[in-house]
Amino acid sequence: MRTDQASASMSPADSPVRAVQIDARVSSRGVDVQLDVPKGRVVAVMGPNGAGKSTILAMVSGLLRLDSGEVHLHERLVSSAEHHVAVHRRRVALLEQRPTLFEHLSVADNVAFGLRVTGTGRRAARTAALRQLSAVGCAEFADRRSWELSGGQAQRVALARALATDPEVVLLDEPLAALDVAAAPAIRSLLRTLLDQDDRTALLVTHDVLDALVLADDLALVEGGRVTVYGPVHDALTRPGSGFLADLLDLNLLEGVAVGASSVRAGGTVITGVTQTDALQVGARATVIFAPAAVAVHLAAPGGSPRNQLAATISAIESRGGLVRLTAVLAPDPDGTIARHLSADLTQSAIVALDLQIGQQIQLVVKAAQVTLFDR
Amino acid sequence: MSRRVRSALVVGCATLATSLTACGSDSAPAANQDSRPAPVTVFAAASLTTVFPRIAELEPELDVRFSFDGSATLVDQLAAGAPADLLATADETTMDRATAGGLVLDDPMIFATNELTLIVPKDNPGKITGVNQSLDGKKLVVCAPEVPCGRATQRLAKKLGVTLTPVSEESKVTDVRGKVESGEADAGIVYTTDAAVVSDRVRAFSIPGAENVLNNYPAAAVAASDNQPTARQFLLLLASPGAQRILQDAGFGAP
Amino acid sequence: MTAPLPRSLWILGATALAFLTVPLVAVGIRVPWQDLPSLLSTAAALDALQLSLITCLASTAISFVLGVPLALLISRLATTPATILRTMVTLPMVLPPVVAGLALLMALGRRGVLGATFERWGIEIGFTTAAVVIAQSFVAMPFLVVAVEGALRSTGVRHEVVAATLGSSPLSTLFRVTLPRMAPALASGAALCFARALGEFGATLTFAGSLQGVTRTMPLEIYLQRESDTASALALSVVLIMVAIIILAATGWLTRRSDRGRHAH
Repeated sequence: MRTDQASASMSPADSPVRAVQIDARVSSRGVDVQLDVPKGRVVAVMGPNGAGKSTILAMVSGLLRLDSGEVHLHERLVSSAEHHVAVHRRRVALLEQRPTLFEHLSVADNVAFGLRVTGTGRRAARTAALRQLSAVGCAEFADRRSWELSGGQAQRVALARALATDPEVVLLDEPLAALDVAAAPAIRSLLRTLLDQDDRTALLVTHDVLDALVLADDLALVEGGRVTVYGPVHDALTRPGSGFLADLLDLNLLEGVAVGASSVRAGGTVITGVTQTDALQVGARATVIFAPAAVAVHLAAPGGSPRNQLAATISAIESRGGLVRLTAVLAPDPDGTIARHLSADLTQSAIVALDLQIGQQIQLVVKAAQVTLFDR
Repeated sequence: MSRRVRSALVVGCATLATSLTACGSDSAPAANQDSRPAPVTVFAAASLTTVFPRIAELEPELDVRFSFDGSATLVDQLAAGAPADLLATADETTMDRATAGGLVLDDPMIFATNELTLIVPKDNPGKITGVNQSLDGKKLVVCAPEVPCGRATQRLAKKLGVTLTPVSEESKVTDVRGKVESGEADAGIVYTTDAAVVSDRVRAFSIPGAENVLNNYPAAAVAASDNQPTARQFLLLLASPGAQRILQDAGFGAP
Repeated sequence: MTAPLPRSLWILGATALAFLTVPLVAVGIRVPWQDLPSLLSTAAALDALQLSLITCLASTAISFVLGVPLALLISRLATTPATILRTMVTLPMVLPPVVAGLALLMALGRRGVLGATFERWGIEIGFTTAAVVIAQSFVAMPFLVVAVEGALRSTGVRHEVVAATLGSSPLSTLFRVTLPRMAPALASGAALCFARALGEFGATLTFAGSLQGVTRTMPLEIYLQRESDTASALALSVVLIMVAIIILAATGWLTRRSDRGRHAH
């Protein structure tokens, strides 16, 4: 296993500055982690509960001391068994589920906080805070108190506060998990814009594969206190062998090219869906995801234009609880689909009624409303 | 419901502090008409705590219940309607308050006297020799002029022509004694009866002229008592040779 | 939104309310209001009031400067050591005041464990105003520590962690985050502490003595006046009750004001 990890922890891309280097152990938490993050990369850290995801963030932020090993930030040693740079001297920013704004300060003073405590003058700090608030779309709330904000607004302000100090590394610990479904997409999109535009290095702990797909460049899978898979998100997600990722990715994922604001050519056809981010740029790379339960199976192409249809061949049929999981291989695709296998969950009676067999040619049909699209 | 029981309830609700005493001393039926004398409730100054029960034993057929407290507190309790048959205070000023308020019958009897004395801790760290220059700069504790022993102390100092500069004026003579006993104070002025109680821990110096500022202990029947014959019986007992012997053994002087 | 309570509760609740308020109202009824100015303008009364206010301010200040750090330390401990420390700290709060006074005497008295040493160095505590402040601090500081520690523990350290990631040093976090956020708890803790110090009687009497202008605070003056002049004792009591009402009302108002937004998140 050790050699496997060593290869898993290699940097996925060569870069002159290594923003985060972890090779460290904390035995009380059963964590033994190797991870190298080049500057400017956003790494999604995923894995089961208790696997050590938050421990990795705590190693980087300095909230946790190491038993052995080292943590470097921007090639500066910040943690070892003997040496520990205090949290406030690390230039890491932390954004958690809850915004944790300071109730005794105005919104603008919250954002200016990091600058004020590090010696920036009152006026300069306020100017910077207002600029940062504009960037998150909350300039109008500058003089309000945190309790006057909605959950989404508060999280935007917390993001502004975290970024106002120009941190070397941004630690995101399930930043969207506590938001309601209406607020999350907009903030996910905002996060992506802000992380991209300043070429931020970030570690993003999340349980939502959508976060990883939309926000991250790379994915580190943490299982039993170790990084077991580490690489570009799409590679990591489609790499076979991880039970966790298979469960996590109980989603059909196709990569293609945008041909319209909300349509993508993928899997040999044009798929229409709902965009998670801004409208797609025609010609840009785009990803299509939909749940197996959203897939219907037809023997011949049905009529009705709002449905997406994909021609495929049945490769497996297996029982899963009350349902039947059908796996199908897509017809050869000139656009270079990354996942040739798609899944569909059907009822037992549907299998019988259609008399489905392995090797049979079928049409997979998905409603546009159940397809999620995003660029990247 | 008898008047006494009713008044006890009123007192109990009005002043929590006294309600315990009131209920405790009034638990027996008030109008006890059999051959034994009705129980008598005696409100007595705290300095009588040890001697009064011994005096009561001289006459076993008397059913006496005691409530000991500071003289002023007792008078306050009487004024609030607390049920008692006899009041014995540690000085005449306090008894005068009770008399003026019509709380007691107008014939207080002096049954004992008490004399002031100077006490120092057994090892006498202040090297005190009496009420003289040896007290200068030393920690002297006395009773506050508001209380009987303090009034007596003031009178004595005036008679002696000395100015006392105490570091503390206590409300209770036992607090004066306690501070000398513990060595916190170099000297204190207390009653001879108080000095007698702790004779193994303090040394007493008699004060010349103290016999001229004797503190008188008066007792009187309570006006509101419906048990005055027994109250008078206890008054007579106090004047008896047996009771006087007990009082003098405890350091009290004869009236 | 209302959730009705059983009717019988009203009777018990009203009885409790009457039990707690009637004695204080009785003081108000019996106090000779028209004589109040003259009763309160005696030198003894003014000295006692002044001494009480000065010593209570001093003991509240001492309790604040020493008690808040202790509360912070306890709040960061694990459950078991925190419980042990909290119990030790709470003890002076629940002791009978006379026991507190005796305990102080045993420690700081002339022949006490520490007092004997102090005496050799020429430091005498007994019968001084300092002894009053010590007695008050001893019984009142626990109120502040317990109030502040409870508030600290219930809010946790999330804000402090965030502050640190924003570059704030521990000292700066203390003054810019922890203490401001704790302002309501600090205010109510200090007020409780002041109120308890104001009412302190037994420990002062036992440990400090009673001398006008030096150690005789309001409660001691009331206790003494009661021996000779009930009216004067009642008048002084009214003043103490008034001060207590003002303190409690101000605390309630302050707490409500700065607590307004706490429930939003």
